[in-house]
Amino acid sequence: MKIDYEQIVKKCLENDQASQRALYKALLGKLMGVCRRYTRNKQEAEDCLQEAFIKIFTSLPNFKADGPFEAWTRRIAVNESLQFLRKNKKFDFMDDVEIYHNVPDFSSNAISMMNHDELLMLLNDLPQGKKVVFNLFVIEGYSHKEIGVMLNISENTSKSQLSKAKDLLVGMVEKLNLN
Amino acid sequence: MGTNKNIEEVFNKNLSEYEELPSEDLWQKIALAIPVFPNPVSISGADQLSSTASSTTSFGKLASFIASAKGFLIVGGISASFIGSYLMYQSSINNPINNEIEQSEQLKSEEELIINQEQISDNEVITKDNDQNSVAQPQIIPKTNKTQSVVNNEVEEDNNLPITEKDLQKNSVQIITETAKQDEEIETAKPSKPESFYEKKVRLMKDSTRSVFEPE
Repeated sequence: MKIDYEQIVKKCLENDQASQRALYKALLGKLMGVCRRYTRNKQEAEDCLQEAFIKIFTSLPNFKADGPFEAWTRRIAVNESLQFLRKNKKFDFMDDVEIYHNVPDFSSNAISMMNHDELLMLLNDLPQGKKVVFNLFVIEGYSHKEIGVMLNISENTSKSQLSKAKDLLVGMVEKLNLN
Repeated sequence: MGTNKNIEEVFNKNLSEYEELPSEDLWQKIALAIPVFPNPVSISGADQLSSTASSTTSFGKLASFIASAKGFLIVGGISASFIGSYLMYQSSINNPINNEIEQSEQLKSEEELIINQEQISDNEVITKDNDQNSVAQPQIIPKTNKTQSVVNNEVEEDNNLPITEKDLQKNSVQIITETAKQDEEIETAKPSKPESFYEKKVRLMKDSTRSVFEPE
């Protein structure tokens, strides 16, 4: 069902509490998914989500309808998650590629068979820096240049982190299949 | 790299929405932090005018109250205080208490007018008396300058004629008797109750015309 965000936002700006709650419910699953991918557990994700929603509601008057509303809220959620990680010093861009250096290839069917929780579990097993880059590039769709600016790293570092993240995931999936 | 592409697709598809949603407590926390936005709807002209009128004077407050109480549709350009003041004026016209006050004030002003006109009439009477007795009675001083000059001229004209001592005596006796007679007439003509303006005017006119034109 398509949500009429324009109408909901208009009502929210008129301090209509029902519309504010409707907006929260419409975005909750999507933004929780964003926050959950960047954080280690559900509690941290909820902390990020709370900050993200507060930022969304307080910034509603500044929203310009020149782009999709959902993408705008998603960017806020990503930024709040990164802010959370910076605050708690959970970024880690150390080159730990040796650990998974000889990761065997695996069947494409293996990963396609995995459900949401299993994929999330795999993602959470990645080192924080690689997880963040993987999230930003693969799921959010940012370019390496944008990721470099966001994380204050070089574009090449972003590329290298992504490559390592994929290798690690392949290794983990293979390991699961072997078990 | 076919495997990696598959990873991206799967992750993107499956992790787009989180299934295990937070509890209701999270919404309670967020709802408390949502600011109250200023009302984007512009203030109506009526509200603006009403607030302007009420912020100025107590009269403005009263006027705007009356305007709003009367259920007027206030449009831009017409102030609430204006309409209120018009209504107050209109109500004062129909108010019996105000009418009584106005009537009493009108009567008062009429009385003042009568008194002033009586004074003028008195002056006129004296002047006409003087005209009649200008030669023999120069000691009666008229109140207006005009009559004074007229009297003086007449006196000057008469002075050109030769006047004997006998004439003077005759005139003075005549003036005294006539003046006494006129005083008597005026006193008897006065009614017991106070005259109205018109009654007095008519009486004085009769007196003056008689004194001028009627033979003695």
